Amino acid sequence: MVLLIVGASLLMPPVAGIFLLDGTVFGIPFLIFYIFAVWLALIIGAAILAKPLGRMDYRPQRNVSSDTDH
Amino acid sequence: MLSTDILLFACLGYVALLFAVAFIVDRRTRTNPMRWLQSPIVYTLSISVYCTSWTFYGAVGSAARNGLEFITIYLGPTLVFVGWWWLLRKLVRIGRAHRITSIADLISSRYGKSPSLAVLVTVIAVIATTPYIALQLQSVTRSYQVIAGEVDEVTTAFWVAAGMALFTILFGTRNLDANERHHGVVSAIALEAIVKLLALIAVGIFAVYGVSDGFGDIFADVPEEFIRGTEGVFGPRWVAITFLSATAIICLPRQFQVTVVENIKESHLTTASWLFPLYLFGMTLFIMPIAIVGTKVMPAGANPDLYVLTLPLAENRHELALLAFLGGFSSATSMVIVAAIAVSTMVSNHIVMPVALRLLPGDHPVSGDVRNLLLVSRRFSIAAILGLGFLYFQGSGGSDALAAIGLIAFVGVAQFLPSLVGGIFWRGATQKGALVGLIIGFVLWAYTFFLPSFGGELLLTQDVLKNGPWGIELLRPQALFGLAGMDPLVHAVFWSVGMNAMSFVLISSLTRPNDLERLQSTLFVDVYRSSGGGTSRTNVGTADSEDLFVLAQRILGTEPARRLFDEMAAQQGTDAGLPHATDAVIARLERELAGSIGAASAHAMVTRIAGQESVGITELIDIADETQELIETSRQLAEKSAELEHAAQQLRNANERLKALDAQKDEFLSQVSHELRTPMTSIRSFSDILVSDDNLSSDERDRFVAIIQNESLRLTRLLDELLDMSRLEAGTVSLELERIEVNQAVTGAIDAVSGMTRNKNVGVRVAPAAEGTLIRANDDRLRQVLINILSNAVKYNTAAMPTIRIVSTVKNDKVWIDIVDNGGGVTRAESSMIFEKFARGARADRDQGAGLGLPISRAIMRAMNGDLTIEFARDGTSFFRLSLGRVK
Repeated sequence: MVLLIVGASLLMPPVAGIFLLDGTVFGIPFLIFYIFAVWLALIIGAAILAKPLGRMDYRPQRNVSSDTDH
Repeated sequence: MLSTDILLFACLGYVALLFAVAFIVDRRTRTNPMRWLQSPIVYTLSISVYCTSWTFYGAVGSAARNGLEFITIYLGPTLVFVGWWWLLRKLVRIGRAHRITSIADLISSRYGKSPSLAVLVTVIAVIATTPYIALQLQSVTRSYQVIAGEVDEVTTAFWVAAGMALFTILFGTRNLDANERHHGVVSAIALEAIVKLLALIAVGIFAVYGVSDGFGDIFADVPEEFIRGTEGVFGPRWVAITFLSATAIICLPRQFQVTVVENIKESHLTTASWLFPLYLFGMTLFIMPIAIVGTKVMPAGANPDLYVLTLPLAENRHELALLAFLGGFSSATSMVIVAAIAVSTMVSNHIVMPVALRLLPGDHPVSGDVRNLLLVSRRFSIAAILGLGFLYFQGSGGSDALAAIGLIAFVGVAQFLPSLVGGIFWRGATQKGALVGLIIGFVLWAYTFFLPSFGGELLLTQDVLKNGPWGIELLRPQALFGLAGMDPLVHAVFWSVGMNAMSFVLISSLTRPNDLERLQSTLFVDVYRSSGGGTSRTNVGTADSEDLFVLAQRILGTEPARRLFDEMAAQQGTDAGLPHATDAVIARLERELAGSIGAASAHAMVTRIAGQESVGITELIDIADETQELIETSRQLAEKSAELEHAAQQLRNANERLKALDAQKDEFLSQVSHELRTPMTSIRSFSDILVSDDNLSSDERDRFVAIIQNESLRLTRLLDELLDMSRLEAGTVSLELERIEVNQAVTGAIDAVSGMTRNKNVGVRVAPAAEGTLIRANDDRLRQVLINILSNAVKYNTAAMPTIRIVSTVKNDKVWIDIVDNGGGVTRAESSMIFEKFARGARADRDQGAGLGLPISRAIMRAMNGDLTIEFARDGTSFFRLSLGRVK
């Protein structure tokens, strides 16, 4: 949820408008560089957050009455 | 030039490879599931069915036309996966718990297994998917044309559609798997995902380093407008498309199919939450460079939608062009296959099945007939959907911009969003709200976006588009209610999704759900809490297991039905034969059937046999649980506060006692000092006289000294008594108890005071207890008490003929020694304070003792596990009673 809010605010107007700058980074226009950098940061953030949530599997119940959720 | 033969050969070879993969995996999963196939990576790759030929070819075209705007198509899904994947997780959990087969099934199931909702969603899905499929056909055809030269567009498209339909039918409808999973198709799609990613990256690297000289060279002289687009980035379109793509990743039927229905493990989603955005990242990385290089290198008038293919061709890199073609082919086929499976499932479950239910002969059921019908209808649906796509393609003649067609589909499926998200998070959402919202959204979408996209050739004429129907300007499709000057896309999103959501919320708030709806809403919204998610049912009618078995056979086929019923019978403990048609069995059956034919149809079929369903007690309890929990919590809170109140009361009481004790202590201290002060004063004054007056006679001197001695003795006695008293009260003295003969103890005490009695002429009479009555006491201390009381009785007796009576009686396990005198006794009022320290009876005068005798006596008696009390005889006279434990 944090990533959604951070990502959306960084990539949507009006905040994104701040980064409408001229110039280049490593020969890449700043705007393109900015969007891809934020994107990559979001992916890394998600990968870090995904780790601790690893075990959460759900086995569909076989028995109507006796099974309980774990 | 790449020869047509090589192209065809490569194409067919590739298709054969896909067939082989799907076939082998399908076979292997039955016998011996392959581990790696069930890995999160395959799952993530299958989600990338999101990237169609629209991405592969269209993104470059879009970048060439509108600059960076194309990237929003991928930012939306990225945001959903990195930030809102628990929405997907909830969908997956619901999907597994309720055997959901499609998005139409989910929505209808949530809103009380409503058949009409299922039909509505299916219709919208078909209409929205058709142009999308046409788009894929178009891109494959065009790319084929580019390489093979001028061939008949329609024929090519027809064969492409036919080939895809064949593949889908072969691997998408092999069986009616209980959970509608298609392992073969999924692995083929995963393979295609790799091919299209590699192809696009290969072309990208070629564009950057083969044609140009690195990124710096590419971006060196690109005008700012090319990157930002003519209308500038970060405008309303930017936001609208990001929103739409975020919606699409949830609501597109094919995305729902791969993300929810084909999901094997919930935990795969955690991997997909970052891996899928990474895949999209890789797909888009080279789009902009290819678009820039393409624009520079290709002649003016070349279709930018095909730069990915034409760029390598123009540079004479045929093998790269072939790879690019296969990449585009992959992205088109994977989308078409999954979309066809998803939509055909909806069509056959929600449109064909209900109709068939009415038409099928109910009285001559044949095993597996429904199943066969379903398979056939699914196959026909697939063919029909691809046919529709083909017709659309032929009819529209191919729109020039691929992206525009894709966006039409996006806005169409975005209509599902309010009902879907509202349905799984908002318990108050109702069937009527969802129906009205969907209809309004759908109509507005068609009116403001879908029909105008035909440019005046379908239903809406040019004139209507320009001036509104019947010349009413207010109703112009692209400036509805005077909302002019907006981008058509933003305009359509605003009206359709906005009105959809608003009416959904409004109608839901105004209507009340029926019982089944209420139950389903609780099961869906609280899917993590409920005990496994099955809707069990209580039936009004009675069901015959034989009928149920026949029904199961018709839908599942003989063998699977037999297995299911055997399992249920085993659970009931029945060795042979069919299980009893309990509510649980019926519910289980309905759920199993729902996995094949959807919740609404399964519900209808089972209801035909088992009778009308009424929401069962357990469900009501489940719903009530929520309330119950609240009540329980508040009850616990009340209990807690009562406990606190109680504790506070105890504290207050303790405080009161402490205060009283404190006051007693102060009182005691002042009394003690007072008692000490009297003898001290006289000692001091007499000693003063002795010291200062030399003229005292020796008589006087002796008298004074005697007084001082007396007072000192009294002081010492007082201090001894105080000390004794405090020791006894603190319980620090432990008295040694022994067996004593009562009568002996009494006699001893009387002997001790005999001097006094004789002096005062007091008559003592004794009524002894039975011979040999033993008590447990300390001899000396008991004697001390007896003497104390006897001497009191002697001292304060003012009667003319003073007598004392000592009566010993045995009462149960106690022995009473009553000491009665005729001295007048005490009043009841006095009796309460007679044991207080320093209290003196009314008859006592100032000099006779300090008033500690009785308190000490009582303390001694209590230390011997007995007591000393004042009792009143019937005539009102008082007497002392010593009670002690008797030894038997």
